[in-house]
Amino acid sequence: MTLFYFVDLYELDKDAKQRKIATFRMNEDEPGRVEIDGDENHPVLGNIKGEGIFDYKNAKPGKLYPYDGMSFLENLKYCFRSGYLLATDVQKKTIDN
Amino acid sequence: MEGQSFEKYEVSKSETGHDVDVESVLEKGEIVSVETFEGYFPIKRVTIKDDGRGIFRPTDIKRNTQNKKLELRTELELLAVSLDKILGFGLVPTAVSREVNGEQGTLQKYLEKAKPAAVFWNRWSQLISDLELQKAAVFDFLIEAGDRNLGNFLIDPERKKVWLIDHDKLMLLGKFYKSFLLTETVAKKLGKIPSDLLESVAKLLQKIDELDLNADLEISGIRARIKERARTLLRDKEITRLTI
Repeated sequence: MTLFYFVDLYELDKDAKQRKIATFRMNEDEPGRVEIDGDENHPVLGNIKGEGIFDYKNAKPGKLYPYDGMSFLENLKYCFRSGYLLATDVQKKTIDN
Repeated sequence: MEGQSFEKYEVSKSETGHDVDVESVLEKGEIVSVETFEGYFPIKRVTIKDDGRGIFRPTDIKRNTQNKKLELRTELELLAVSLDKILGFGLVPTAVSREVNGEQGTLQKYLEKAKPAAVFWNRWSQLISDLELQKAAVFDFLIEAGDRNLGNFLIDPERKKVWLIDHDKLMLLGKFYKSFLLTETVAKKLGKIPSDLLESVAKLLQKIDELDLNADLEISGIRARIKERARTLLRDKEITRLTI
């Protein structure tokens, strides 16, 4: 059994319907590595990987990147909160090996 | 009717640049459906009969983060709308206070032709006019925008236009992202503010005391802070690397 933590990120189409851009996924056994499942050419993903996001939760200076693991996942929902881009909370999923 | 939009109302603008008819539709239009988006914050897509769509953000969004409660204070969007109206910049999409399915919150016009700047990534500033960038920079300077990242403003490439969104506690009272609009204005050497924009700032300084802010906002000193920033801008007539 492997435990995964994940966050989904959505955008809106012209009818204001949600479309998933990507799932950010972290394996419990590899806490420093967040994988991104989605269109790797999507500019929003390039932006996140390149620019990073702030640590809203702890209001700490500096940026968080996918290699920051859980801290990165936990802050996606604060960074993307407008509705036009909207992230879920960190969710868990167990997969049988 | 599905597929119609607010666009038919956009011909009628008030002198402030805001659309009075859209405001009235958002306030009183018959809601035909409400759908909560997938996401941490319970934001809703509201469809108004014959008249397009809005994004609804409940006022009382509270979430526990460890031992602290995060209140998003989405009603601050209405303050941003009021400031934008006085300035006459037309940067903040029309929004009203409304109750939807028993919850009080802000209902904001959905802009179907605009996309978050993050969608254009490093091309976003090439897609808007210099004047639009300067107006947005002045606005962000005045409110001391604390979270204007590429997800918190929209670009309409067809109209070369910027729309500012997400005016909540993290934006108005936080200190996270230095506004990308401010840093880009300085990088493009557009920091010298045109005289008509300065006139708008002077008008804001004159009228801001007439704004009816609730007690919490007065305590946070937001009005005094905006006035001080307006005076600084009127004195310096310029936004520089040192002042942002």
